[in-house]
Amino acid sequence: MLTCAEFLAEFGDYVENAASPDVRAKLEEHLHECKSCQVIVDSTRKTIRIVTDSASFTLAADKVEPIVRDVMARIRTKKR
Amino acid sequence: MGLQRGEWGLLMTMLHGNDAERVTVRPGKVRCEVQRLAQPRDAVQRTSTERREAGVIARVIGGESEAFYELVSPYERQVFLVALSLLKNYADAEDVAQETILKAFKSLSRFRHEAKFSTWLVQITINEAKMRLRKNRPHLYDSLDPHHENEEGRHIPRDFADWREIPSDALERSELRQALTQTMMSLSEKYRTVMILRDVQHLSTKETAQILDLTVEAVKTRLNRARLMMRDALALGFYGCWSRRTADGKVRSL
Repeated sequence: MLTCAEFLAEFGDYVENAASPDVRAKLEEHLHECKSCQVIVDSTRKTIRIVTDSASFTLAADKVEPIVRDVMARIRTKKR
Repeated sequence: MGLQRGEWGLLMTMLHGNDAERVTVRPGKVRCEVQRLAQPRDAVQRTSTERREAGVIARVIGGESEAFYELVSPYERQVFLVALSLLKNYADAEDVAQETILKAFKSLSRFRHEAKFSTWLVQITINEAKMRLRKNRPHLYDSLDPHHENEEGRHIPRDFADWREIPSDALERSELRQALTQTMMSLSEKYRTVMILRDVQHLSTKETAQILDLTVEAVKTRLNRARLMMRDALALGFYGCWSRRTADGKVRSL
């Protein structure tokens, strides 16, 4: 069976539900026996959700809008 | 100039806001190292956005400079945010974003349709931002990560008893969003960049590998470590000040 270190080295695809069936089986065999890694998988999935979740955020367009406009002005100036 | 307290939340707003505008674009590439990673795609496989952009690029190269606005505008926010995530302050990020877009204009004739245009643009952004970092603080650039790594560079997760109960309302609080951003910014550059591209910008592992000139495996390894470090930092927060400040004392599972 995998050690915790081996499990953690390979669990990236697993937390995204993208591991191949044989890798998943190998990881789940370890997970079944290891409470620490269960917690790590669970909390890492939650971390990914927190980082990727955009539901509570809104756009703040005003901060970045002038960039391309400014560059276009520079391009026009250089062409003259 | 670093970000002020209130600006961290704004950064998160902007980072996440970008997702709503993310568009699938079209092939391109700059550096020769990328060519070996990029899978050339023929015209049949291109999306309608990619085909439209190929037409706009041809117009710009043909001398119609004004068409460049139409080409890069959809990616303005992405370029700015990637620069901001590396540089951590608005002034430098804005400079680098402008330099990136100008460089893309000047280099457009060297663009090859073997990766997406957005991938090419983000790659220029990262190169420009790294050059700025080296210029600003050469002694700090790419310093070793102070987080928990053993001698093989493998991250050792902290052992928390249980992380299953997190107050959902904590997620609505600005402290959490600020802490999230601060934690992101505290990661060393090589982990932060991968996490921004993969988990915030939602680029694929392959695109991220192309942009950073890494193998797919290296991207996966760095993302793993970044997520574990982020998890450690967030868990510490939940077990510390955030959880004690829950308004009604209720604890709900995410």
